[in-house]
Amino acid sequence: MKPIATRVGWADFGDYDHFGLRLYRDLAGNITLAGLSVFSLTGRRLADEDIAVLDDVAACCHVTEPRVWPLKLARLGASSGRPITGYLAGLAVLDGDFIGTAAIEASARTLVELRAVLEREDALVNATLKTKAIRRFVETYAEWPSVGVHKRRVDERVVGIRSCLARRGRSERPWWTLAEELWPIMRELLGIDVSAFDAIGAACLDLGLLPKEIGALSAILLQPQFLAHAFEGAMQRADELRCLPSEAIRYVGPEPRKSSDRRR
Amino acid sequence: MLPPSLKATDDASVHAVSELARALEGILDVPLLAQQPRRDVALLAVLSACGIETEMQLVSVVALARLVSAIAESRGRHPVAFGDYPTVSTPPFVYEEP
Repeated sequence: MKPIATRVGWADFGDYDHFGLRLYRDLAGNITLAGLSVFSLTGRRLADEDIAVLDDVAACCHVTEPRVWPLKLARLGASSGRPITGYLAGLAVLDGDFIGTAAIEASARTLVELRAVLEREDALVNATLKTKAIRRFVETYAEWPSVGVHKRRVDERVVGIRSCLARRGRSERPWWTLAEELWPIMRELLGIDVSAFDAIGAACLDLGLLPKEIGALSAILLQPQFLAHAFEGAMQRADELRCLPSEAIRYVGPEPRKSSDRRR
Repeated sequence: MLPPSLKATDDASVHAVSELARALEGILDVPLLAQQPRRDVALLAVLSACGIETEMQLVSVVALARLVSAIAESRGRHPVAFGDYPTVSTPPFVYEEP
């Protein structure tokens, strides 16, 4: 039977090999949760100041508002009384094509493609050429991945991430800079405002992560909000969520068939 | 005797269970249905009378049966239209400072 290769690791005499390191000898006690998440995806250890950016992103994307529908789903599932049921119900949202990790990955990939175009056209350093190339890119891109901002003018998570990057002196990093040049053009030409998904993608590209890695990692960065709502929802077991109120249901199908009639 | 906590307390449930008992006349004998059980209790009694008794069997039957209505419900909406679904129109939330 052909073996399946793994670089993630395996157990070995009281310790675990993990991407060439030893879990207890090298990592335990020396790595944060965010750092371990990146390492477990990529096999690369980020510098502490890079890990801090991930913590910033997670904090800025921590939505405490229970009326946001993905978090309602977490509460709905958790109304069974089991936090993890609610947690998984919320997490299912992250696997969607429209929002979630796929959207974050697609946004990061779009930035990578844009940069490749700018390099190819030698437009990275010439401001005029660059703006024209970005506009052309936006106008001709087949399926723009950004989901925009719903029910408010500005995505507060973007504002938060932007402020955190500025405080850490990281606003001038190449991918964030390119994104900040792209987003106003995206707004002007497509009417799409920058969302947190775009901001997460840009911020993580500056950490040296690849779009696919960013997509997977973002699932971790977005976890705490689901945990918060799922846990409280499971403790509350709200009757209103466990049983749909009859006034919320309107039946529009044919008259109900009486099963006992069939026997007559 | 069925404990009071397992008895139907509303007219709709009583009616539904009596309809079920009527539908099963001459097909399946489920004595417990005469004791005015709750709907879920009636369901389990009928399944038990059919020989569906272990936890695994009961969970499987109920899950499969509910899947049918879940699929039917999902047909009526396009994917990710969660905002349209009334269950997502939750009661108002109120924030309380700890």
